[in-house]
Formats: sequence, C-alpha cells, structure tokens
Amino acid sequence: MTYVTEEIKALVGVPGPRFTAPGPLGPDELRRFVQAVMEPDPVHWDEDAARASRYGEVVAPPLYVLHAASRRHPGTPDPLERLRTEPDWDGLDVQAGFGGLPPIDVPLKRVLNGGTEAEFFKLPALGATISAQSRYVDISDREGRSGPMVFARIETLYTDQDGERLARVVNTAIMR
Amino acid sequence: MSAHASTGRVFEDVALGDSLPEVVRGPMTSAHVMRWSAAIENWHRIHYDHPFAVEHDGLPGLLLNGTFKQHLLVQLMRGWLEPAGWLARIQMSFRGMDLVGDTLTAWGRVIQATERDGLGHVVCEIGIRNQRGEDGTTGEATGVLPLRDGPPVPYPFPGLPE
Repeated sequence: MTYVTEEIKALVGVPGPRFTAPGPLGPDELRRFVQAVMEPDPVHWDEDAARASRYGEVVAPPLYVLHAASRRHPGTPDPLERLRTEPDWDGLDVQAGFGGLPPIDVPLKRVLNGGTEAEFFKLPALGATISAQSRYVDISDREGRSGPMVFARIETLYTDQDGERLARVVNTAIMR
Repeated sequence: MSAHASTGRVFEDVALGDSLPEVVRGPMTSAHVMRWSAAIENWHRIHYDHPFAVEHDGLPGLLLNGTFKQHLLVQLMRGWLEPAGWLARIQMSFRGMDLVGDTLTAWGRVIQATERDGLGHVVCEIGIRNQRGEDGTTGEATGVLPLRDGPPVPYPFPGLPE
C-alpha cells in the first residue's frame, strides 16, 4: 500500500506562490536579529568592516533569509487571535513550513523536521527585499517502525529585489 | 607574499582530521530563547511557555529552537572559512532535543579536502553537543577556500559543481 498516489506525485515540481518580505531589510531589524543570534562577525553591523570585506556593504548572515519572507505584513489578520477560540493551540503554523504549497493529503497527523540543507550564493545586503518561492522536489513513503511515513522534500529559492539568487534551502518534512 | 596571506585561511593550511575552533553558547536561558523567538516572529509555545511545554506537550522542559542551532553551525563554519573562504553548502538534521539550561558546543572536523578547478573544496563533519555529551544535531558542510597562489573565491558564489 502506498500513500503517495499519482495525484500527490503530480505536486512535485510545481512552483508555489512567491512570498516577499513586508519591506526592505532595515538596520534596526538586522541589529536585533544579529544580537539575538549572537553573531560575532562585524560585517553584519560595522560599515568599515563591511567595506573592507568581499561584501562591500553591511549584509545579513546567510540563513537570515529563512525568517524574512514569512514575516507578517502590516494590516493582516493577527495569528494569535486563534488562541481566543483554541487556547491549547501551540502557536505553530505547521503549513508555514510548506511555503504555501498545496498540502499533501495523507491520513498522517504529525509533521516532523527531517533536516535542512542549504546552498549559499550571496548574502542579503541592508536594504534588500527578500522573496521566497518553494516547490516539492520529491515526495516518497516508507514503512517505519511505528507505521507508514511520508517524506516531502521542499525546496525554497530565496532571491533579492534584483532577482539575484541568495540561497537555496531544502527542508525534509516527515509525516507520520 | 601570496594574495591571501594576510586575509585568512587558504586551502594549503587545511589537513584531513583538523578540528575547527569550537563555538560555545550557553548556558542558554529562557531569556535567550525569548529574544530569539521574538526576533524571528516565531510564536511556538514550546520555546517560552513552560507549563504548556511540560503539561500539554509532555516535554522535559522548554526547547531550544532548531533555527537557532542552524545559525550556530553556520557561525562555526564561517568563522573558520572567512574572510577568504565561502560556506557553499550546509546540511543538518535534528536527532535530539536541547533544553533551556543547556550549553551548546558547535564542533567540526575536516573529512575531505580536494582541489577542483583552481579552488579548494573542504568537507567537514559538524555537530552540536550539549553538556550531557549528546550530539542532538549532526550534519555536513562544504566550504570553498582559495589556493595560496590561486584566484579568490568568486562572489556572488555560482554554486558548487555537480
């Protein structure tokens, strides 16, 4: 028996919606991020250090892209409103990990993070507007010790406002 | 004097089995986790709501964020490779949990070093160990370093050859 039907296989390769950050990467957002991630490299805040580096300007750390395009746009519904009717909600939007792709319709409840793979091309500069677009690159299933498991590999390509590639990230979601 | 001598590590400096300087963070408190969750706008309660994490999700405590650990491994690699080198690829998976109160030590070891098309390609085995000796996060990273008398690593980086 397989969970991965022809219909589910047809999802592979189809690009999802393109998400764009609410605005250009600002110095205060970058400062708070760099402090929270405890990043020691001054090219992320010091203009002189950045100018002397290959980057030439202040840049964000390479994996910053993961958090840019999923930020909430102003004036959009408050996700925490859900806690009014569902006080036991864990605060996690599981579908957010799927980059807006159509859900894989299988009768499995739990979604686990099966790992991350990233390739880096360029660091986002201060003022960059970051976009993200995802697609499934592989969907397969396997019989695990505790029952069937479905593995979905989701590729997200991050680009800046000039369409230059910043990073390519592949996440594996395990459904069981 | 070579082009990269004053600007960092080159391929010839690397030997198989070399250990990377460790990057240590911690003990990680709930304040660190709250600061991180707020910075990335992640409201998953298992990171900051202790009663929820323990009573509702049955966890042994507040969980350190996987996203924070991803960046820690990137810092480990870039701290060793830059300014002359470039972190081209990194892969990691989460096998175990780390909790508030834990100290994280990111480590790496060179397992492959080859010259390709005038650049040095270095593959490292990487991981994050907590003070209980558990390697909850493990993975592999590929860095590109210039040769001592070779051209600089191109930027933007075009990607690794297949």
